[in-house]
Amino acid sequence: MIRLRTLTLCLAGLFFPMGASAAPPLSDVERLRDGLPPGFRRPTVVVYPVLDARPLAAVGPVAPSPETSVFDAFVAELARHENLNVIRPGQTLQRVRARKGFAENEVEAGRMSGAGHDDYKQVRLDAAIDHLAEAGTLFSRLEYVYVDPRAVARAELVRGQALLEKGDDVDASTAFGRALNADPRLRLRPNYDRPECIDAFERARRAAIETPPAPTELSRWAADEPVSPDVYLVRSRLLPAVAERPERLEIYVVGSGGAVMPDVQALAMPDAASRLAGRLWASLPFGHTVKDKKPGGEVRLDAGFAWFLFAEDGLGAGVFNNVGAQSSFYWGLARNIGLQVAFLVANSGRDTEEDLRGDILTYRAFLGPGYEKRVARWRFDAHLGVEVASPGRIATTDNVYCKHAPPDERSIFAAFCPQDAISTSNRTLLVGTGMTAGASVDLVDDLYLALQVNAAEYFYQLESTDLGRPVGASLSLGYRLR
Amino acid sequence: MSGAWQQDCDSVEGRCDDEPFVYMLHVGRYGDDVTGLVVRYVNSGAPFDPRMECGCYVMQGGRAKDTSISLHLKLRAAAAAPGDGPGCPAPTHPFASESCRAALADPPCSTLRFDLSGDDDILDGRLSCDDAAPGVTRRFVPARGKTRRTCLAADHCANLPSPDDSPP
Repeated sequence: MIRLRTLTLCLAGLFFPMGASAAPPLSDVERLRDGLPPGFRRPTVVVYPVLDARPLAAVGPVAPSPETSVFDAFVAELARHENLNVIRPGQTLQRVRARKGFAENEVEAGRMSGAGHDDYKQVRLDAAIDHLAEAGTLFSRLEYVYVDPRAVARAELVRGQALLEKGDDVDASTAFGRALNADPRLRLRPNYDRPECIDAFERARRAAIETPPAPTELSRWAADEPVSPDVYLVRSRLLPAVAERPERLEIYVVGSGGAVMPDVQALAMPDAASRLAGRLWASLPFGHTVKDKKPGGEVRLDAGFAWFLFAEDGLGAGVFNNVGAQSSFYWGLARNIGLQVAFLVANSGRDTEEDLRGDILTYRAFLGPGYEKRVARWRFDAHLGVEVASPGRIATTDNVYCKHAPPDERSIFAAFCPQDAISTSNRTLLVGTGMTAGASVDLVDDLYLALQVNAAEYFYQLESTDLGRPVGASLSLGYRLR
Repeated sequence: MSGAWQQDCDSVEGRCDDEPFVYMLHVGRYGDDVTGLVVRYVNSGAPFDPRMECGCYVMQGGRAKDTSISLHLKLRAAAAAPGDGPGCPAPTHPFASESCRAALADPPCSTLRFDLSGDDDILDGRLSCDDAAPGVTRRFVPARGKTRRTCLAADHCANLPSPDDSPP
């Protein structure tokens, strides 16, 4: 009876191993409450300063610093979530300035902008438009609208004026819109600027109020920001109330892969900042724990196409290709030291004179330690070890009649193709030294593409064969398992 | 040049109304070596009718160089050289035509030589009997269907006429 109960328990444990230990997954709130584990990697949320477009609608003198308390509260609420690494607007500006090439591009943009202004003063309109367009492109790349919005606005305003004087009303309107986007408080002076210019500028301002410009600059990944799946850019703008639409805060969350999550929050709603921050927190990844990777220990598996030929060929059949499939398994033993196991199966083609009377099915297996070196996305390796190969049945002839006609004693060719004109050998086993050398490149995540060359020298033959010294290559797609 | 070629009877250059026989070549080229079968048909108005097949012969001494090939057939069977002479497509093939039986029993020559050159679309050249110059010109064009790889040896052909059957 006791034995039966023990057996029942063992079977239950075998078939329902998860029953006792499986627990329901924790919610993000519970995970935060329980505390983050050591080594937890937090998503980095880079919050840009808000672009306040509300002064667009202001009539008369515009206050120099409109109040942005909702946005500030939104950032504070977001930063309260411990699983996020929130970069606040002030730090974001430092981050923008610290990007590679910022200083050089800033100087160049300033130089182009200055040249454009000079050209405009000297009424060289075409040169002014070109220089200011180049400055605008650089400003856009640098995200200079967050660093010095007035510089961007001045360049676009002058470009718009030059375009208008050239008669290009459409592009001038676009330039005025970009100027207002950078500095919504910008206005032209009635007794200083030309009336037609003021009219065009005011039309652009009213259009920007009625239809906010497309958030192209807000919803793209920063050109000089390093790509990372754990970094998210948050850009936002405050829009003025128009008709039935209230004052509102629009945000755009941009991932390095190009994914954009837009959201909008009316400012007048109670708890507007915490509502928006809560929605954003819920839509961002929670983060993940980074496991300590021991030196070595990496396990990879790949499979692909293989080709080789026998450099030592005593068949008299000339060179013939062998094409097939290869699968390799790598196990990192220590830093830069790994073990490769490869298995290859290939079928031969025919030599040009068709001395081979049938395809040769060959199996090859390789086992050997080697050196591996990783450089950025690339990995280079070389292995030396033992190779075992087994070429299949080989039939060859140099008798042209035997090549042409199937063997048949009733055939008219039988008299021309004697039995001994075809030499055959059965499947055999070869053992020797093998070597491989290759390179692989990481494609995405743990997926990689590998190119490898290989060669072998056989020292032992179970049955004599005229084939030896295979030299070949393989192209494989692989996956890093660990 | 590997593949099946049939004597051209349709073009202006290749009229074969006056020919008693037409030929189909089943060529296999292996490097510079050439072999295969030459199948002879009685020119009965329906060229290359399988029922009118009148002997198949092994291409011997075949060589290929660039765009030309040369080969010869042994039309006469010889005890010392098995494989010379005609074979048949099936053991009971009748060889019903009188002209065919006469040609098989008493060939016009012992060796028929083919010297041809051309490209993938046309093979032109001469057929000469026992190396007698100048021979006759013939044109071959690609034939539809698979290349025939063999036919039965004379020992297995029940109705194949022998030299003893030739008219006196």
